[in-house]
Order: sequence, then structure tokens, then C-alpha cells
Amino acid sequence: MFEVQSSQFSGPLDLLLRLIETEELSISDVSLAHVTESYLHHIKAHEPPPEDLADFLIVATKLLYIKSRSILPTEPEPEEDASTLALQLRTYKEFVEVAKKLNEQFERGQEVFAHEKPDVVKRSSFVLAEGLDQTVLHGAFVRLQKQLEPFFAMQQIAMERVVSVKERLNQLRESILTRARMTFSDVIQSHTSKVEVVISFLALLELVKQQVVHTVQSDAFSDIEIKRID
Amino acid sequence: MLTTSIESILFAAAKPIGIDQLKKHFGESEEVILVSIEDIRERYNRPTSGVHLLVHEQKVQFVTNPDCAQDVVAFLKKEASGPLTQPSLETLTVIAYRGPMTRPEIEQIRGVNCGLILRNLLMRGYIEEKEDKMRLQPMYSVSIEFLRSLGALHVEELPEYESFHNNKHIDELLQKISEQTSV
Repeated sequence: MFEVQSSQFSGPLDLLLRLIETEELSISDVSLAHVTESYLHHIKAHEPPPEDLADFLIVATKLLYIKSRSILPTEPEPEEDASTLALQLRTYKEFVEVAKKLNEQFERGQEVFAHEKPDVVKRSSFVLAEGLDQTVLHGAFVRLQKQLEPFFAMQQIAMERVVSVKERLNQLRESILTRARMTFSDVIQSHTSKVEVVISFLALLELVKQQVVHTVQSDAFSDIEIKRID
Repeated sequence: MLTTSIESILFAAAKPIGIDQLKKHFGESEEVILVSIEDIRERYNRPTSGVHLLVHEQKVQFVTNPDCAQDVVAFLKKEASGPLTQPSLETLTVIAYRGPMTRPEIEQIRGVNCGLILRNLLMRGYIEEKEDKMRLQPMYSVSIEFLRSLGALHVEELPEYESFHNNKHIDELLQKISEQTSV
């Protein structure tokens, strides 16, 4: 008696088919009777998983029935069930063969892909408010810009001042170097705005702090005299 | 114009579109919709087209060209489907060629209880289960996902589909179990 080595079968028909194929038999009641013992031996040696055991046993009973009939001397009556097993096995075999072809197609790696559903949970859709169009948007932006104008203007002044104090400081330092003394009214003579006067005053204070000049003012609001410290 | 609209819908859709849905939307008969689908299929399903049309069980979907699988997988970092076990492969083959069919029919062909494997295949999305009102039991058929991972654009493209789908021996075998169960 020969043994089919692997115990991994996809089912009783798979086992039966391999037994018949190993013996190079065609699928008929005669060959089924012939492999009955091998089949029984196999399921005894490698117990099928419990969930499939019943199916293996059903096939076993069918095999035994076919076998017993083939031994009996009486002319067997045509029996439905026996030929069903052979038919079942032939059909199964055809499917196994075409399954191999399907597997080849799988392994060719010709998978096709479709649009995927987006990963993100669907957002509430974007709806444009009624009556909203380009002109309205433009108008709103112009208004916004007007509202922001004072703010931008202030920033502009602040920038000017920062830059100007430094510049004015240098101007003042240079002019005091060429002359021993001058007055604040000389400095602001050409100034046109209050801001400019303030800037010059800040520059002057800075020069005092840096001990480049010192200042004298006789009374409140009188002219300031500026002298170079050598 | 109908064909063009359908084509646009299929392009923008993120899932398979049912012929029924199209019928309803356009208020056209199934024949008219099918003519459009066939027109689209003829124009797309050729080797030079990067997009193909997959048709399965009254549903249609645009998919990539099967020959471009490698590049699509590599470029878009897609996960290719993993290999199948022998029982899965057998069961899928039976269902692909003979579906929609009942569980006893599948088991008759495979000769073994298929409950676990069917559940597994359902979970992996390879098959679909539909309640059949006439037979009062679930009918199984392969899914669009299965065809996609196989790179088939229609079940009829499967090797030897005709000879298995309309096979007298198999019909006879399945007939026998329906006799057995009805007794």
C-alpha cells in the first residue's frame, strides 16, 4: 500500500483525487473501490480537522459501499449514489484544474485599481452664500482696506520715526562737528511737520545721552543752545 | 450625449455604479444604457488605453489597465492582493464560474463544509452574499474586488468560462443535490 505524504488536503475529494492520480487511474467506480483502503488508512493516520471530519467520513462510507458492491457476487443494481461520487470527483477535478489557471492569472500580477473612497470623513460640502459674487467680494475687500488704512498709516509713521531718529542723529552730529555751537531753532528751521521737530528733539536727547553735546536752556520754551563736548 | 454623461459619471465616481442607478437617473431603458456601456467598453478596453471598464453583475467601474499593474502598485504604493490558500482558491473558482449559487451547491462540488471559508472570503471582500427570495437561502457570487485583484474586466474573461458556466455534468451534479435536499 502506498501513502500520500502530505496531510494538507483541502477536503476529502482532494485526498481521493490525489490517491487516484498517484495510482494513475481514471475516475471510475472501479478505481474508487481500489483506493478505498488507502483512503481509510490515510484518514486514520492523519486525522482531518474536526470541522471536516464528517465530510471525510461521508466519503468513506460511499467508498465502502462501492467497494462492498464490487465484491458481492450478485449483479449490482444501478445505484445513484455510487456514480454520484465518481461524477462529483470528475467535476471537482475539472475545477481544481481551472483553479490552477486562475491562480496563474493571480500570480501574473495584473491587478487593476479603481478610484478609492476618500480616507477622510466626508466634510460638510462648501456652499456659497446666496447673492455672493465677485463684485460683492471685491466691494467687501475695498471696505476692509479702508477700515485698515489708519492702522497702516500709523505703522508707516512709526517706521519713519525709527529710521529718521537715527538719520537725524547723524545729521546733527555732523553739523555740530563743523560748528562749535548751534541752537535748536537752527536745527528745526527747515522742518515742516510737528513729527519732524519731535524726531530732531529725540535725536538731540540721544546725543546728550551719548555725551556728544550738552545743552543749555535759559527759560521754559526758550531756544535751546547746543554745544559740542570736546 | 447619454454615453458622454455616463462616461463622466463613471470617471468621477468612487465606487461601482449600478446599471439600475443609471436607468433611474436618465429615465432610459436597460437596453439603451447597455448600448452606451458597450460603447464605452469598446473605446476603453484596448491595450493602448490606461483606463479600462470593468463590468460585473449589473455594475460598472473604471479601473486601471491590467498590464500597468506593476507601475501603479509601485508609484501609488498600492498594496497588491496577497496569495490565496488552496481551499480559498478552489472555493473562489467554483463561485466565479458557477455563481450566484447556494452554499450546498458549493459544498457539493468541493465535497467539504465551506462555512468557515465562505465567511473568510466574505470578510476579505472577495465574495458577496445575497438573499434569494425564491430559494430562501443566501446566494454567493464573486465581487468586483475579486475581479479587480485578478485583473479580469468581466467574469467571461476567465479561462474556459463558457465551458464551466454551462456544463452538463455540473448541472447534473447540482441537480442531484437539489433532488436530495427537496426529498
